[in-house]
Amino acid sequence: MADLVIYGLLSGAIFAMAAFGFALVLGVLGVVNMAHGLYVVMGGGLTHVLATQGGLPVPLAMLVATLATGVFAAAMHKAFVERIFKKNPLMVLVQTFGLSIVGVKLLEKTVGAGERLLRVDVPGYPIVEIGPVIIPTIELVVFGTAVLSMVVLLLLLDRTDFGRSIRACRDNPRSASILQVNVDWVYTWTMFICGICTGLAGALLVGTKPLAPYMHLQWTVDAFLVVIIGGLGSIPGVLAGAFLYGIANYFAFYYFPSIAPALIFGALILLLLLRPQGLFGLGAVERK
Amino acid sequence: MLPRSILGQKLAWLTLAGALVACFPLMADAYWTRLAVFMFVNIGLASAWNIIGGIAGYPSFGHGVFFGVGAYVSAIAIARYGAPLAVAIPVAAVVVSVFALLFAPLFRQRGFFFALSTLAAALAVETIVRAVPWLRGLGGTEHGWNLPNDLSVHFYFYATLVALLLCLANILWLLHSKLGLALRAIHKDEVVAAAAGVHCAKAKTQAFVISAVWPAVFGALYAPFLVYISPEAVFDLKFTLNMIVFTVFGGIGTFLGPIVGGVALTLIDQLAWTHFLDWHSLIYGALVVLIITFRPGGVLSWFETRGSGEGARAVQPAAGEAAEVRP
Repeated sequence: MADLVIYGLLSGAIFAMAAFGFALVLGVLGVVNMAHGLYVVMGGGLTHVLATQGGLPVPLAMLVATLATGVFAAAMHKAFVERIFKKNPLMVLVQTFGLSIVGVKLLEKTVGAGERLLRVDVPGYPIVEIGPVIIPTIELVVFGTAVLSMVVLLLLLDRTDFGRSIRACRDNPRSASILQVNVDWVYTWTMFICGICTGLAGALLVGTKPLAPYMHLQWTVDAFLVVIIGGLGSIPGVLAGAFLYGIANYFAFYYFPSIAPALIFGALILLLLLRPQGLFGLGAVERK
Repeated sequence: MLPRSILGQKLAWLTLAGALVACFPLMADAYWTRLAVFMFVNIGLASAWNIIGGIAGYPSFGHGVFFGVGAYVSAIAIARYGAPLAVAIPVAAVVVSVFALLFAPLFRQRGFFFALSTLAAALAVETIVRAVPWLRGLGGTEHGWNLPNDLSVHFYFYATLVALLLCLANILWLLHSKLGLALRAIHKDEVVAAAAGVHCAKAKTQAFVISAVWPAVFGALYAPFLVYISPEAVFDLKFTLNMIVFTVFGGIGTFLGPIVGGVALTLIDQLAWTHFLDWHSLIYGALVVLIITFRPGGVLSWFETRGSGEGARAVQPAAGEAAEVRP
């Protein structure tokens, strides 16, 4: 029991990072990005290649891979999504799905299609014991890094002018543009931040779990689920939703391994029907 | 609602086109005939999705599940109870039309949320099919269904062609009926439609059941055609996504769009497979991205905007149809 909760919480931090970018893009641009899972596998894959074949130290490899994923996300937005998302947000669903197919294929051709796991041990303290539960120290390091970067991102959104312009575009793009906010520029930067955040999630994940390009769709669905559980428009909701989802995932797969996905999806549908604003959503949500 | 005579005229054109296509096996070998069966299934699936996704504006991301359930009902009826295909198809249609009613509560969602709910429901059904031994295979330990391979490829060619023509005729009828009008009103603005006296919940449910039954019919034909089916073969997410991609590629919300998309993408897909196996998915994905980015109205919109000229005249029905569906 205790180990399920602890491991669920640890995995929840990664879910939170992956879902944060998704929620940001859904909130600010109003689109569902089906290529979102691609950023996770891209961040992880690039980190692995840079660290093992490029010979970079692991933290530097993570940083480079994260930035590269952010640039990729911004470029993808500038080249493709920007042209149509205002006219027809639902079309972006199909478009980004096509982009994810192309991106995953390119990733498989350059980085490789296999599953990758970066073996990192913290020197001196390979494991930590919490009561009867044994945890590899690296899991705690990953957890700490994820939480820390979430805090930095939240402060960025909350306290800086840049964060204020993003929130202005989310609340009302037209008034924002009257107030001399360059809306298109903000959208591109939002995608960049989404790429950074999600790429970092992948870069952290590859140190604890195997990651391969074909898993991208699972990550897109996971991110969507977390955002739905937490509720749109509430960043703390997304964080809480991610931890809940992490724990629920571990419990479902531990007790009912063969029908765990059916249980999770069934619960999700019930949630959507009974409490459409999410567990922590801010009142009524406008359904587009 | 248009005059009945226009509907009759269109049905006549459809019959003529069907008769021409029926001559195809006379000059093609088994490979192309087999490819034609896949093409008919693809067109049928995309056209069926277009009813709910294109005309009513409710993008279902779980429609492949009806194809899969149809295939499984047919396989179970044939392999477990020894039913002939002529019985298996109507059974699959009836079972799926009842099954589709279970999705009715999801219509309280719209847009992205409806898409996600249907996706989640479809994935849940797939997991259940994988987990229940009675559904999984004949012996309980098997992971799929073996079906007798006693019908020729020509039989399947004509069977799927007839099913496709019936499906298209059904859609033409729907476009000209009161229900079609209601669906277009719902697409435009559901609140206004309800205020104007459209029974939205009823219309949406009817449209959803119609658009679920046709994939079931094609699934029921597809299972014995493939001879061996497993969850990977018929519940794959690619069926749902292909329905959407074919429709969007040709022109969403139009009658001819899914047909154009189904023909073009089946051929392109096949050529990519045979010539660039390694890059096949990349070519496919890139094509989808380019079409949506630069032609959000699909291939058909190319001809609409060109105005007069021979190209436009050749596809006159397409332009007319498009204007009708999106008034």
